[in-house]
Amino acid sequence: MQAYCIKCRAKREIKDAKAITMKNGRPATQGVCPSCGAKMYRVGKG
Amino acid sequence: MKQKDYDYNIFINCPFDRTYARMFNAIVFTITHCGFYVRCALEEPDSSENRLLRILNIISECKYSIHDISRQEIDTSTQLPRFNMPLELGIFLGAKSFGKQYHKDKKCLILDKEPYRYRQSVSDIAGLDIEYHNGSIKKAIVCVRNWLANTSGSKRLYSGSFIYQHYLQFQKELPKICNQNNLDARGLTFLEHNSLANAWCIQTI
Repeated sequence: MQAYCIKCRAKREIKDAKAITMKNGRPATQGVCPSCGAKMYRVGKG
Repeated sequence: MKQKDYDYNIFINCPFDRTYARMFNAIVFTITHCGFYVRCALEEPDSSENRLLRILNIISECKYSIHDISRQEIDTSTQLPRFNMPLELGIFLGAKSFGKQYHKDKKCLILDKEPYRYRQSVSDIAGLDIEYHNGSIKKAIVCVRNWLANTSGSKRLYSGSFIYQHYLQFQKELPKICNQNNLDARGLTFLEHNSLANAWCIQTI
């Protein structure tokens, strides 16, 4: 799954993507940028 | 082939000018808050790809769409209205009718300024989900949230008034968040704003 890295200012594939659930029950994905290591978040399932 | 995240993607078809920016950002925030992902023509700003082809691709990857037709006004310089929004609404409805099987369950919300105004310009859309916001951000947030709750079957979404409060909180915190990322809150691109809204909603709610 891709997300926009706010540090690199570019779309990147989420590394170490982990599925999480928001409090409203909706799925989301969090991981890190493969290029700079910044945290990345994106709603939806990877 | 149906994309993995098809069921989470929402295409936004609306004006992209400064006058509409606050409304656009509020709709993007609401969609994200409800756990869906925003797609729009601004996501590949430097693409050499034809803009219409890009829009067709995005529509093919989205189950849902929101079309704001509230700005059907005569341009004072050309004396003509802008037709892009009704055109893209037509493409979405065409994809739903003529597309592959999984496109048949596409759902769209149409936003306008006043009730029944569309009857004077695009009366053929009568019977679809049409809501009006009267230019009010809070009303637009409530319309989008309620439509998503009804069409997606998500039972635990926060109410529209909660989302509006969170939107105000996000707007208040945005300059600080931007500062931490060497960005200017007044000059965010769609991708930057969408990314920050995703991070904020996932970490906060």
